[in-house]
Amino acid sequence: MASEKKVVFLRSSDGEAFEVSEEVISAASVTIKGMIDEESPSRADTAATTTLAIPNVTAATLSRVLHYVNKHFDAAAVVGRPDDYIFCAPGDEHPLARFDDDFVDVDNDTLIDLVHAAEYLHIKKLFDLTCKAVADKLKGRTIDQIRETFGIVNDYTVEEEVEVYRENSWAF
Amino acid sequence: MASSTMAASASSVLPPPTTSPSWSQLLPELLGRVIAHLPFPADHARFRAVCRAWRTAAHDQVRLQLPWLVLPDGSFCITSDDDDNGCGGVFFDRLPGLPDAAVTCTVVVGSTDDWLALDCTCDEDHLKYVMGNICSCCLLDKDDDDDVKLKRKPSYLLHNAFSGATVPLPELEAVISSVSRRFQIRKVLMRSSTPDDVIAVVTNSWDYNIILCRPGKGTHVLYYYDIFDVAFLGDWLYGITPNENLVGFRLGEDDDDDGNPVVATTRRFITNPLPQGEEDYWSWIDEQENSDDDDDDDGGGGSHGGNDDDGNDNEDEDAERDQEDEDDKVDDQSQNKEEDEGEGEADDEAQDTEEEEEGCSCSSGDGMIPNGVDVVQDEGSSLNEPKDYIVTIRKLVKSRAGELLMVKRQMQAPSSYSGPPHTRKVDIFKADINAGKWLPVTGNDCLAEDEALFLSKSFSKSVRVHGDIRARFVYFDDTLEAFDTTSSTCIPSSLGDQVYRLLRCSWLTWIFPQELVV
Repeated sequence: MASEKKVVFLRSSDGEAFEVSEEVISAASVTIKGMIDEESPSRADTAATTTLAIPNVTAATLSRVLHYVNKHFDAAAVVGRPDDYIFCAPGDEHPLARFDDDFVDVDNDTLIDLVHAAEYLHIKKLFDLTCKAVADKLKGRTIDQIRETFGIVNDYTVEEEVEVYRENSWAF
Repeated sequence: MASSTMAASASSVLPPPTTSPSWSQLLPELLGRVIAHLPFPADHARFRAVCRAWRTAAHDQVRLQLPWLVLPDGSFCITSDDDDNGCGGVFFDRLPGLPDAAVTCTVVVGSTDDWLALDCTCDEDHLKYVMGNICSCCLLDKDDDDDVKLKRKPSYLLHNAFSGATVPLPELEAVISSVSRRFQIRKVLMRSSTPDDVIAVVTNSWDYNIILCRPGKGTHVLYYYDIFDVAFLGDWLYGITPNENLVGFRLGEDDDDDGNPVVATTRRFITNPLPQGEEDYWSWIDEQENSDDDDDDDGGGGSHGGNDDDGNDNEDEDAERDQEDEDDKVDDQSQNKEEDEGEGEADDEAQDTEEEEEGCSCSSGDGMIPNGVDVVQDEGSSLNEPKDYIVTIRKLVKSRAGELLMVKRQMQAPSSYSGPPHTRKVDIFKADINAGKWLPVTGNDCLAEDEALFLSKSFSKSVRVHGDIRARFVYFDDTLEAFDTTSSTCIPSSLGDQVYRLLRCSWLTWIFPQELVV
């Protein structure tokens, strides 16, 4: 019975606990794998399940992250190879491409939370995916559009701004 | 965009109430990852103009890239000398602004600086063929058995990868009206950065070895010079042949004032001795040279529509072509007959290729211009069975100092696909036009202290070193190696597994994005 799949609980910053397979989350998150490894000596002789505190991530974000992690783990198991874009022939659509697109089709606040969560939990693919989603919101946009999209205040002095424009005048 | 309006509009935008960290306060490393997904320098330029924090992030995080590698389908790869994470390459989908892939099958056939030359009527098969072609020597031009004329009529245009500008080339389509599968454009070289100047299109067809094309004006065809690579230098277009002869064409002013490109003088600047028994088919160039000035026409060439009726200049050439045509006809009747008169004792591999070409069943000259690549079996590596090949590749490039360089590179290619080819040795020569010789150069004499070369199958360029580009290095598109000319050592690619995707492409080219201030 000891070989039954182990689970761990992750407690979000706002106190909600989420159950996840230890195998899945260890494969996905470098940070949590480190936490589990640290815990393991004390866990060996006890049947109690581990609960790990994730102080930087809210319940809303954590549940999204776990959805992503489970989906990608299952897909990798089906295909039987690392779900890595590099090995796709040009033009082939990656089986998870659509899921990924939908996953980051969210408002800016949700997206920034996901970027931070992916970085804190050290989930490389999710971090790349979310950073790419942010980049897509910048691509081909004017400076005004970018400031408006992300609610950024222009803190340049007029002189600085003229200088910034002059340096790459071909781009404006 | 005036800065006063910018400041005004920015002050009217208030940050939305949010509990999340502000976007302007994202950690620089995090912004760095975002920037890594923004390939275009123009996006970087705008990014750093948004606010002070982002400018600082851009300054610390924007990696100054090497030129981009473009694949035939218009997708591209950005590589950098990023040894930190051992994976300095990012693939991107098709360049924006290309014709819709769902409507037309477009293939990139050449490039100059930031311009791409596109064939918009390619077929899917051909695209697959140039994209994924694993073979022992993927560096070689592959000869297709299928030499039937294709039904499609090629449609060419120039497309600027960064400005999005597009220039159709109906003049070129008028010359290349029908092609077979063998047909290849080897190079599309623009004389200047504006598309209204002369463009040299090098093909593998002896019907139009080089097409001088001026968009909106006209063309001038140089039929059969055996030239596989060219470079512009001042008023001259220079070409090299497999025998390492250097032929120059001086582009002249058109008397009619209609802007058609014309060749005023044709001259052989370097003539190397031929292997014993081979005939010099191009000696007529030297003979006609004396009568250059009072000769309206130019050897071997003619404006489109003029066909072969060029007068005395072409007598030898025409005779030679007729001879070859007859050979073709003979071969039509008995495919296996080996007629190879005039050919010397070439190595086996080259002989095979030659026979294949001679045996073509149609009268087109497609595929008849050799590619300047020599292939021999590596007799030295007796341990390897089957034996490796040694492949020699030649490139012509104009140095920043305005000299003509021939880069001759020897590569080791496994006969089966047991691994990628690698560079064995690189020799660089400078053309000494007065002495009529290639002068070998080594060490610091090869390139200037702020110079690097980027060589690819269809576009080679000498650049001033900036960003991550290493001084006095030669970068290769096919193996992604970088060769240090000062120490004569070759540095392998740091791209790891990703290199295989690029190696699978039988065709790649460099394009050069704008230089960015960060």
